[in-house]
Amino acid sequence: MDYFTRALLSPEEWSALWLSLTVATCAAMVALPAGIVVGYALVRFSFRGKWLVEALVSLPLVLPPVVTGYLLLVLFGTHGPIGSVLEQWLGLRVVFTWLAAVLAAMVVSFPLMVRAIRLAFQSVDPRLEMAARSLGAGRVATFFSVSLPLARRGVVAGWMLAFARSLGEFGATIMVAGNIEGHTRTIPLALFTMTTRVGGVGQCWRLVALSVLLACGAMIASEWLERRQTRRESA
Amino acid sequence: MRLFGAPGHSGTHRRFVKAGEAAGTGFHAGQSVGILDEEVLADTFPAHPAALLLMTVTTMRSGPVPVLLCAVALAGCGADGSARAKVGLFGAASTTDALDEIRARFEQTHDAQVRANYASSATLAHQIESGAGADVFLSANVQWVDYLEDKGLVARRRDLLGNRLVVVVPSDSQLRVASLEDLLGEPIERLALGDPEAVPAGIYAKQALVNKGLWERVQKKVVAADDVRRALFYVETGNAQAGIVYSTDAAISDSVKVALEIDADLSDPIRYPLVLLGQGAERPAAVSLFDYLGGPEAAEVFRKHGFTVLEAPAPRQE
Repeated sequence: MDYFTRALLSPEEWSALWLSLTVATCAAMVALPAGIVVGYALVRFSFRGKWLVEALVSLPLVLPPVVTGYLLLVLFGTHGPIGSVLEQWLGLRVVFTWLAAVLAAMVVSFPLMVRAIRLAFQSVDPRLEMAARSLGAGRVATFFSVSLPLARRGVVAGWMLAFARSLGEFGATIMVAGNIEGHTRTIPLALFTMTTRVGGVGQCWRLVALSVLLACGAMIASEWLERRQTRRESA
Repeated sequence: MRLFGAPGHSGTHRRFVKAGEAAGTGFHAGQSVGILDEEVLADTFPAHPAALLLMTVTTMRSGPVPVLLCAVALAGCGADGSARAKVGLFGAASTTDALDEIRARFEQTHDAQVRANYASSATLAHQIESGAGADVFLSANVQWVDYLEDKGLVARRRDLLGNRLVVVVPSDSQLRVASLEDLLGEPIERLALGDPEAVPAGIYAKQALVNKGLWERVQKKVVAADDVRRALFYVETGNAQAGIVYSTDAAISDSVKVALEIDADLSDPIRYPLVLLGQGAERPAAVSLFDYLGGPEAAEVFRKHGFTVLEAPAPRQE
């Protein structure tokens, strides 16, 4: 068994794969509740400052990832406003740990998730929600029993999109999480590191192939789900 | 005279990184973010007067303005600013500030424009191998020059500079690092090094730690930086509690202090070879830069920044 795993990938590559998968899964998971709330709010409610929320949510999409990473570093670093509080009160150091990799991936993939979830909720007929309300269900009950189940395919699509984006995150990760073997060296970082080493360029085809496979798989799944969701609109 | 695009090289580049420094991004002057240096981009899209003419004619309807612009663009045909010879200088990240100063002096006294690209010697060697426009290369170790020599890209080389490794900590840190063994201690969660497999500073640091039998235990703490100035940045911001950089890097930063000087015997002698690449050997401006860097004025600047300047090899008797 050990021979088999070694033949497939080297230990460093397994480590990079494992890190990529765990960071992406956690980032998408943690971002999901917030993504659902924000997506739903942007579709169903109009409030003052909505444009600002929309802009802020879309910001990581247009900012260069390195800048996003730098801003996170400033906020969560040892001397930063959030980082110093976390360190003093919880003894938690975020920067240059696995947590920072998750944080970077989360922030960068959030706009994509929100976009997909918005589309999902837009395809849910508001009259169904109103019907539920008129029958006596509260707002929250309506949301969980009517809106969310109807939007579930789009929500999962959003999750997959966030997962795929997190797999490929490089700039923000290297800024705030650093390049630490076994802790934050995800597949993109491992590829980058390999290319600077002697003869590394010839070695990285396995990780490249892996990257492409994972990303393609996630994108295809996400697309398919999104299409199933919007077909509901015409139904 | 140029109308659009291609701003004067060093001027705009410096303004950009000076703004960066002022904003505290931690990028030191001249630090390149990779092969797409602003200066390389500026050269890729020169302001060709004919292109300007075409653009003006097709986008504007009529009136005196397009005629004026055409006239101005045509005037640009004659006095093209790129008459000066261009020399591509690739320098190890640790030599950034010294080389910036030296090339400014060189440009004043010689009719040439020096385009500098600073990164770790590993990155630069790979870029040179891939055909980047480099004429002169100052590497932080011998290994990367041997690598290029094996590929037949080196015309002339000489060992130019020496340096020292030091352990640095943030300037407000209370840590005491009396010896390398202290790096194993609890308070140091993250140790910033240049990538120990590629970046010279990291390679030397790893050698020192291996010779002390500490590498296995310290390895899991290592944050691998893609060049030595980034390792310095990690320590400056306090996100790494300690780091190993050159004494010359520690000297330029106010946010770190030297905790320990590493014994020179623990690693290979730190030698910075100066290389004239094959491409550069055919260009007189590049050859004169190579000679200038090996000369007394440059030596003075290097010494000022804390490098040791090695003796020129005695001329070979044929």
